[in-house]
Amino acid sequence: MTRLRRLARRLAQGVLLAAIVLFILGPIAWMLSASFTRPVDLSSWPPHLLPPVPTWGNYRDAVASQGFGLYLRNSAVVSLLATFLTLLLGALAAYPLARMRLPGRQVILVAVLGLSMFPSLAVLLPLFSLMQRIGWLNSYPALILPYTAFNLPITIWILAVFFRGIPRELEEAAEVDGAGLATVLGRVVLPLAGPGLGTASILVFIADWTEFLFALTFNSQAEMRTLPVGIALFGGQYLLPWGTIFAGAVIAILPPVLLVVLFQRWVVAGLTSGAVKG
Amino acid sequence: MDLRRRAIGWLLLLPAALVMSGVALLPTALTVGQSFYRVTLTPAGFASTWAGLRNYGLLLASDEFRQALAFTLLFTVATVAAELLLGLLLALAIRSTLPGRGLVRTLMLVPWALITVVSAEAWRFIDDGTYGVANAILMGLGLIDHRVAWLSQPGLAVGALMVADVWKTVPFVGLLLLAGLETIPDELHEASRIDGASGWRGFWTITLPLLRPSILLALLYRTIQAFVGLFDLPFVMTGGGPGYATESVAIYAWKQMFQNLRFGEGAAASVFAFLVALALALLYVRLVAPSALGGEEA
Amino acid sequence: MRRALALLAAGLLLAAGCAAPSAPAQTGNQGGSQGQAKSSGPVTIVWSSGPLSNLGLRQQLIDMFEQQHPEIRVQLNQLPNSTDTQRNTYVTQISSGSPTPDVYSGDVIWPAQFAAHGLAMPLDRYFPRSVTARLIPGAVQADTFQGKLYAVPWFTDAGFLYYRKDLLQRYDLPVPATWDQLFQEAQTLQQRGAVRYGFVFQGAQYEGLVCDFTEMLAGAGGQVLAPDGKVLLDSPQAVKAAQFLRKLVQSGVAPEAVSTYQEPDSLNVFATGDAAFLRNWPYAWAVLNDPQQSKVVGKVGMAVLPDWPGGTQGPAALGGWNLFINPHSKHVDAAVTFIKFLISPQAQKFIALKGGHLPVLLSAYDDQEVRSANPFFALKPTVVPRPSWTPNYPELSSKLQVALHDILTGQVTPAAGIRQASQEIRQVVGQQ
Repeated sequence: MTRLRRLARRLAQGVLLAAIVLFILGPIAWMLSASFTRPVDLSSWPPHLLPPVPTWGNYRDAVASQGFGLYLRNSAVVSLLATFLTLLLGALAAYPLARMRLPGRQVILVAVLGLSMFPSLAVLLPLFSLMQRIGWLNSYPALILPYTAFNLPITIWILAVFFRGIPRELEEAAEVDGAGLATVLGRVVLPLAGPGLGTASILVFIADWTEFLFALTFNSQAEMRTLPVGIALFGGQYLLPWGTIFAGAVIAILPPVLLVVLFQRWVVAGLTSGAVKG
Repeated sequence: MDLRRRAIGWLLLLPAALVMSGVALLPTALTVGQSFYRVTLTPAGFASTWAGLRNYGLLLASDEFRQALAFTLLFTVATVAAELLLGLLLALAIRSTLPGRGLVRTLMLVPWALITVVSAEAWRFIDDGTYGVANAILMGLGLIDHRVAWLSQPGLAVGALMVADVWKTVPFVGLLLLAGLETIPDELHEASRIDGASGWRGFWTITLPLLRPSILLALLYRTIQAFVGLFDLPFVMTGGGPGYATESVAIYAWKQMFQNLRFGEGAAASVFAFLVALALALLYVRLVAPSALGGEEA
Repeated sequence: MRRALALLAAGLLLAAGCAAPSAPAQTGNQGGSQGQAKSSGPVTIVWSSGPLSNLGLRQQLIDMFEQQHPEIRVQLNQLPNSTDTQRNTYVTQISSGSPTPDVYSGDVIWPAQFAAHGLAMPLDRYFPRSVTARLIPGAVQADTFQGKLYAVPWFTDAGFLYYRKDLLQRYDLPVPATWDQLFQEAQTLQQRGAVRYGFVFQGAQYEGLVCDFTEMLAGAGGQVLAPDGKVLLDSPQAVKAAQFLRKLVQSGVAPEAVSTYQEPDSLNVFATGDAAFLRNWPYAWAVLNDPQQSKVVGKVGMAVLPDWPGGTQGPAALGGWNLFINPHSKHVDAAVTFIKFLISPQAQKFIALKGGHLPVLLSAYDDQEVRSANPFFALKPTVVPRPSWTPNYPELSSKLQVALHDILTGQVTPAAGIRQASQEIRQVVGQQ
């Protein structure tokens, strides 16, 4: 009886999960298929679910487009450095906010959160002026610094929440053993906050990787352009080459996915090592 | 000793504070300031005259802004609720032992990692009333009997946007909640199972309360994004139409600033959105996890 | 006050940069030196531009120019094809006093707004009447605000009718000269099963809908705004045009989805062979005759758009692109030289032949090679501008778009929609 019920529940779970996964993967599959479809076959009724004449043409066009490799590199440099900087500063700031009895830390936490609540369009103009005055337009810092600043709030919140979830006794034990703050942070807190760090890294990296507005406005020169802007340059006046855009987007998605796979290893590793220590 | 600890605490906060105040706080403050001025762009540059609350008055008197506010609120509440529910189901399912979950977990991130403008274009194509796949599938399932132009009628367009948004962000919510689930020790679940608690009771009494902080994070981040950052999706898919049905507060602010060059009113709209988002955020903190702001240690 | 804050911020930024050990080594400072005159060697100017009909054309033009003018280098900053994105970028850069771009390309409907807000430099000094007289008068007029020239036309665009030559022949139908004729022929072709849809155009709620409506309105003999700013929209002619718009959808001659179509969507339907008639710009010709993109290669004809008796004959909305100079540019002379090249016979012929764009240089139309390259160079439409001579045109257009879209989708009756749009436009224009 219970076994039957458990089986039924598993089945229901499976069906539900399948439905959600289908909903998520369906459009992806369609985009993938469209990226292998010739332009002339893209508009038809009923629509082709698979390309009638599969072609690499869209990928060739995307990769051969001016500077695609360069944009990929710029995106990688900007996103990786910005993610690293965000996580570093975020972890340093989140720890005292989570653990030390700083006066006014509630106000700080709310203020920090408030900073992330401004539409980026609304700060575009003053931020551009600023970058211009200090001569940083068309440089890596012109993107790294804003990406860091605008992703720090949510990073601090995520990390603070995860730090607070770590049993206090572990840190105290380490301190009793004579460990300094650096050791406590590096050996105890950060490894135990693995899932939080991993999640925050992925979220921040993806936010940086896909950012468009600042990248377009601050780094307008071809040498400094990032991938989302590069993909937006496909096509001509009144022309949107869907296939090529999707092909470019498919390529652009590989680095974050790869990174997620790597991070997952790291996150899992952090978890198990924490469990051993705990 | 305690004083030294406190000093170290402030010191740790300093780098983040510097970067945030220079790059985020300062431009934000300038924009907030602008919202109290009548700002015009003239051949001689920007000209500002003090206007007090005039921009806010204009804002509240504008039907277009009120509509944008109502749409954005509705959109936020509906999509965040749907995302939370689906994200939780997804996270629980991935957490439970399932074959191929590693792959599912990676693949489900793809929508989130897609460049927003591209995914908006993709959905515009899927929802296309002439050659769109959505119509083909729904007609195949017998749910509709003719091709529907999803983005041409107000109600349908709002629905289509919500679907596209949920699709893009469920993975994010799922990931965040999954990270929360992973910090809950397995022993707790096993203990409850030994105690004979049913799956549901274990979920309500153990999993959900421990998941509160993660739920709060998901709520906060998604609400801010949906409320303040809803721009690309409607901009690409519907241009804010039909009529003003899908014009978000961010699009309204953009129109004022960059299309009509009324910077003061655009700034006021942004500040207004900020205040609403902040109110929502504080409400969540109160309701979901008061300890997140942590006066008392958990 | 503002400057002090900026300085403070700069200090903070630098401090942060130093404090953060991971601050990137490659702090490129091209941004700082950009736009400042170098004492020797060639001058470099920056040209920001969205794409032409194909991506390589801009660089090819630059190469041609640099060969003739080795003393000037032109750096191309490509922008996405979205007009809104382009305007966003220019407003941000120029209102902040950035000296670059020196030259930028912009939409034909921008000059009044850009002039009124100091985003464009007055150019009469560099482009006197003797120069502009060689260009299409309507396009020059569109670049003039309060008697001064604020942009130089680069190439122009005009709405045309594309029709299925093969189908008209098979069913023995003439090329329609009036809208009513087009409607009937479209219905006939649909009833005979030749095509699924009769006529497709740009019906989404965006600028393109205003273009299409401007043509129908002119064809009915009406207009939106008088040159002096008086609102003329509230007229029987406008109601007639609006009623026709609605009738197209209601009768099924245009698909219901036409209310979501921009240029590429409407072109797709026609290129797939699903529609008998299409309203679009000249660029569609090359696409429709490319087997990679079209199933109707060789089956398409082009004509001026229909009208109604008593209205403007063969109306075509004025589109096209202009060249502006940034008022903060440090290289105005080089910028002027570059623009002069872009409207030279050589460059104008080049974009006509290689890009299928309509030149603004009148003499280019006398060139045999140009005339025989594309059928539309021989067509003679009556160009009708959108009312972009008011600096509040973007807002006017956005009100008109909403009203027209509501009419098209049946949310409001044509008469009521036109009445409401007229009221709103009066407010917008009076608001200056």
